[in-house]
Amino acid sequence: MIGPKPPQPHARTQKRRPDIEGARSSRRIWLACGCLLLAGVRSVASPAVQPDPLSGRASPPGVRETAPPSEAPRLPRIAPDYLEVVIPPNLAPLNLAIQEPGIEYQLRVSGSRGQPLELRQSHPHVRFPLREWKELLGTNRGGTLRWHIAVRNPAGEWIPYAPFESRVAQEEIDRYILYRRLRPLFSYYKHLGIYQRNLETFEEKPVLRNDTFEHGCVNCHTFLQGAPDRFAISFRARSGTPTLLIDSNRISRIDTKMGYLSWHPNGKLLAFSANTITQFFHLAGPANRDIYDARADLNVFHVDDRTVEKPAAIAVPDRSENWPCWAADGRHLYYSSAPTVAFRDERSFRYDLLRIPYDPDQNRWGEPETLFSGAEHRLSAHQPRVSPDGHYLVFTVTDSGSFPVFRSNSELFLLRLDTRELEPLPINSNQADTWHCWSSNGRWLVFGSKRLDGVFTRLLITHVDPAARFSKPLLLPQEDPTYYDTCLDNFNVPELVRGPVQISEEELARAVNTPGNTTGPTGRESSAPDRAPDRSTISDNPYP
Amino acid sequence: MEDWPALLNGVAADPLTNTILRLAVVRALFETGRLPEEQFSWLHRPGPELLSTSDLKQHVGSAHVAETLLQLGHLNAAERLAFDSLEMEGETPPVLRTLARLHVVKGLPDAAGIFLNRLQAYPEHCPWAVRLRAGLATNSPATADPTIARIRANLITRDEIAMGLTTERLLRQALESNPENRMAFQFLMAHQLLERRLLYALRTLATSPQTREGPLPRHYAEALLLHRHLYPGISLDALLPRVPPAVVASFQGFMEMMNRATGSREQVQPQAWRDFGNTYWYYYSFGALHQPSRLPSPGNS
Repeated sequence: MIGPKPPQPHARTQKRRPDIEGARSSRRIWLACGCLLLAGVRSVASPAVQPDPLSGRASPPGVRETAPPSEAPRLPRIAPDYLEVVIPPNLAPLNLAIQEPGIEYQLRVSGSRGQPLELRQSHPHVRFPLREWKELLGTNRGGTLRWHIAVRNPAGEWIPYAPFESRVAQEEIDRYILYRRLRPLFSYYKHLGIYQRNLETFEEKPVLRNDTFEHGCVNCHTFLQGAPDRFAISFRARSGTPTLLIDSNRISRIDTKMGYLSWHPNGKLLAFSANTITQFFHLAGPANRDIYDARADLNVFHVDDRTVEKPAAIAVPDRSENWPCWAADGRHLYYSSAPTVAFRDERSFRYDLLRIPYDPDQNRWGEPETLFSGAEHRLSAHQPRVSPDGHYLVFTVTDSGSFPVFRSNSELFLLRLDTRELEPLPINSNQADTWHCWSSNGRWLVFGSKRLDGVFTRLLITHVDPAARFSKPLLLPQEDPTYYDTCLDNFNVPELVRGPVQISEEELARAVNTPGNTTGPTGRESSAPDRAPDRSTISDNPYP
Repeated sequence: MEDWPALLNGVAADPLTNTILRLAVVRALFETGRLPEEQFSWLHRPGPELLSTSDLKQHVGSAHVAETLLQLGHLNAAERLAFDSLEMEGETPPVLRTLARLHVVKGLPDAAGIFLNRLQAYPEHCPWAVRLRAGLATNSPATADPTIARIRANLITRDEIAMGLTTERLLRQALESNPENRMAFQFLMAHQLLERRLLYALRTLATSPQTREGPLPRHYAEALLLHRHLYPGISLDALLPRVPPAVVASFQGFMEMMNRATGSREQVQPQAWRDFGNTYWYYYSFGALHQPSRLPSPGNS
């Protein structure tokens, strides 16, 4: 049992005030030293900025500065917490709120190269100008940014806070991210949709909202290696439960229900799960709801001839296979697999993590290999995602069950595929951490986490270095730094893509509403004749 | 805090056929300490079960059911219904308030803060939101909102898969977790009396630690006398001495009226309404026939 999750080192830094204080006390000495260097930082303040409480210059008459010489300045309270994060060099500004009482605020962000960014204003919500921010990141790519904050209190005193740092990575993150946006849903849903966000700006656009097809359910969205013009989306609509395939911005509708999806890198195969999902609720206890999904199989959709294959190796009777993920070289399929259990035994349901060799030229499967035993670890393994270089596997772990986002003890684990070393990631929090996605260059991982408040899934970005060290996660920035304080939506199933989805929402909606090809498990070997012919029924929402 | 007397004043002329209004009246009577004495001054004919949501059109009012479930200690059921309401009804102050309270009780103050931030956009709810936020800041939310202490005391403790949750089962589970849950006890009595489950109601009354001594509240006493009349073979010796004499006398009058009656039940109803319209006996005997718009108010109120 992994039980209630203890606070993780990085997790604390996502919390607000007390965490920022506590997590960094050990760094006070060098931060204080950093503060002493302030006088040497060149100021390019706007004409409105005078005097400069960050520069050590003399204050005008009537303005006192308080920085008791015997006491090192403390770190400022800010939200989101951007202390010591690693920033993609092409990411939108890290706008923030300074959570210190005051009547005037000054912030300067400087690197070792180029002009610093400096703002002075009467309110604590900081929004950086996009052009200057990009310039700052661009010139300091691979370097360090130093953040200096000072607040003028109601008595007119400027309080300088200890500076902090963040690093600008060398490697960019994919320009766009798609996610599913929806409120916490229990028994009913009305509004949900897939949106795309430009990570270099704050622009967010709907890809497909369910009010374009009579409030049906829009589920999985899966891209072929981050290509924005090659993807699949599955639905539950009044006209059926189709899947849309988009290839070079041409849409075809497949009337086959598909659960969790993964493209083979050759673009000719789509592995998908065929789930029978039942949501149920608890009368008491911290976990209110859960999913019983213990009778799934994996299928393969052949794009060229529009047929569904149910390979015996990944649709084993008496086992439930789920969460498919192709390796980047297409030579292995990773997936979860567990002995099927009855509903009354769902608490003992635990997935193993397997991979099976595949020869795409011969359409031949090898022998499955267990990478992680759920029974041995007494943990259930879900959502395997292999790094683009094939060296690492990140997956989600819970104490049992089949749907990690509903469990606060969900954690991300790393498996080093060369050494088979297994470790929980240091970026985990004491709330659910799930739905991860690698960037196409393998240097970034985006994942969903409920760490901010325990209820809403927000997206976080972490840098991954070549040795698979994960940086402190960075909350997906918004233009309004207080955006998440009033946001009632979850952001989940993040998928990084290299550019914007070009196909219009109207075209996608039209395709959903127009019956298309009916494709069934015909024309290829179906190796589980004892199963019902249609195992792809999704009786409930796979992403509640 | 909710203004329960004002709510009762506001619905005084309503026939109370609406599911949510019926629940609101029962809740207001409970909160003002009048439920065991006045329930049948307000509710004269049967209707949907107290905590039922099956009759709600487009989920309208489900936020109120969620809030009641929360106060009863059903945190998880309240959470489900509140989020269903948020999704289907849209954002309303009642559901934001329930979700804020609920997450305070769950120990998720940051989530509570999000709902309070939303609630502060509604001027009439802003002071409450500000008070609760201040309470959270000083780690004393129960001071800012006393119902939080009640919810915490009432929390359901035994988990099971939530299926087939009827009003009866929800209330019994609440009492099982906390036999001193006054709201669950009074609601269960109210529910069983409304459903004319006399045997159940008197068993609830007899086994509850909440009514061990002293005169029985009026409606409970009325139910007891009616039960003794209908089922004379079942002993109620422990409870009978606690029936107030005025209720005994009134019941004699009711029985005399019923014994004198020679016509159909419909013919007797106007007199029963006039003389006993505020009693459980009227509800039990004539509730199904009751036409609220046809009859003047009872005379003995």
